[in-house]
Amino acid sequence: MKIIFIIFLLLIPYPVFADDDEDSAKMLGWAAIGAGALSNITFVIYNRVRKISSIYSKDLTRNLALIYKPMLSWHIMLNITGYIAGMMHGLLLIRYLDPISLSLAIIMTILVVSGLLLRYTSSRDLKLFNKLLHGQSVLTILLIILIVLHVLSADD
Amino acid sequence: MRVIYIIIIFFSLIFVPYNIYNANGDSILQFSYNEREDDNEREDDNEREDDNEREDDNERGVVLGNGIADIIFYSTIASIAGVCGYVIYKIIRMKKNMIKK
Repeated sequence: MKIIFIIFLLLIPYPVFADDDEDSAKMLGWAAIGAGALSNITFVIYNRVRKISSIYSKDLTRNLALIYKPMLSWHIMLNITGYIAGMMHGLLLIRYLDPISLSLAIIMTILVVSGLLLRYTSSRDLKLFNKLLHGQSVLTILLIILIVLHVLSADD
Repeated sequence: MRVIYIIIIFFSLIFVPYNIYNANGDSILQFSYNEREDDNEREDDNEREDDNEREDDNERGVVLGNGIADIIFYSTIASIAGVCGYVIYKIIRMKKNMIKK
């Protein structure tokens, strides 16, 4: 059931704006940005609220702790969908490849691979390495800067 | 040992796309795309037009100018290497502290 749901999620961006070849490829990029923003902003807000709630209410903390796993699955699934949409967008528009897009693809790959290894491996050392790498704010800031630069430079 | 494997994987993730991009000064994939375009259009006049289009395609996308875009690319690579180095240093320090305790 889960696999069918994930496959369904992957299919969503394609039929939405398929007016023209290049337009649909461009829309895949926007779909990737949308999916990434939606999943990460909600996950960050959830984590902040969960931390703050421990000061005020124990019930709220317990309730929030119960939905941690679904929230994590939401974060992973939406980010993988966004990553695949972003990579498809890159492959379809490969002739416009520039250093900024390449940097963006590398950063995205590192963050997704470290996140997947963090979630799905059992080794302690591996988890420690990926936990530290995945949580580095430098990479997140770099990702946001590169997305902004990519959008600004790709429009022209 | 596993940490070493991860470092190798991460560095290969960085350098494989970089090498693809740098082959003949263009992307290998881009080169093959242009070749395919040329095969379809055989007339001389059209070929001349294609050459101009190909030059435009290569220039498009790098609006900031080659210099600045390259600096951004190299600083991205440098920051990834820096972050990896910092993480490894932190892990080694944590392990040392655990042994001391």
